[in-house]
Amino acid sequence: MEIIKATEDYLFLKLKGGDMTTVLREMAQTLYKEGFVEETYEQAVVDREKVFPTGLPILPYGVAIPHTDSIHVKKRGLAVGILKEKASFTLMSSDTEQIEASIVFMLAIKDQTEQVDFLSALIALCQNDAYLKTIFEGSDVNQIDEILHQLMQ
Amino acid sequence: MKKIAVACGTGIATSTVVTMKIKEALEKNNIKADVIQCKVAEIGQYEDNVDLIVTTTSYESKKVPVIRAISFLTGIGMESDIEKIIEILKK
Repeated sequence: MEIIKATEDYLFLKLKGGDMTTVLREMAQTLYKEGFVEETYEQAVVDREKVFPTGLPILPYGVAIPHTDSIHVKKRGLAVGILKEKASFTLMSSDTEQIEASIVFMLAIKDQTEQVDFLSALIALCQNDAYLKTIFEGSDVNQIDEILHQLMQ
Repeated sequence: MKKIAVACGTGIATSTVVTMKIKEALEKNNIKADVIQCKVAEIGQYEDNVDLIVTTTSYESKKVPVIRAISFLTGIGMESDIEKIIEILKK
């Protein structure tokens, strides 16, 4: 895993991918090292993904938005991971159906009432082809910073 | 007044987005309803008192209609889910 950019608000990561649990653990560990979440977040997010999967059928990339309870979160933040090799996530609201994800937004959510704007901006981003493409390509770090910085306002 | 329970796994992330979009849609269509946001684990306590459950997790109810609303997150099929919600609330 490579940390492309780390700010007060977000982390932008490039991962080898391939396996969902490995992706979740690597991203959660980085959020922990950068002070966004508690050490317990990693296991909590892995466990929760099994019970409440977060894969979204946003094609062609495939997006997942793993997150967990706020007791494991220190401060609001976001880790964006782009995967070299897609990883299978279960589709949200399904028990069995899989999607192949190449972009993972791991959320550190502290308190929902203060974060409605952030969450709705994130969903708007997930529905914006051009922005997703820029993130997926991962090369224009300045534009990615602009997109993610705006998201975290 | 009709009541809707909107649930997700944590009760803080996807249900927040879905709740907001449903409230917008109701307002736009001039329909008044109470929207309760909760964890899917808490739905049992609301099930007898609501007219509709909207959830982003896998959930089945024998008592009230359930709409799975990941369309509110992907944007694909959202209009048709809104129509379904409105139809149930107008009954």
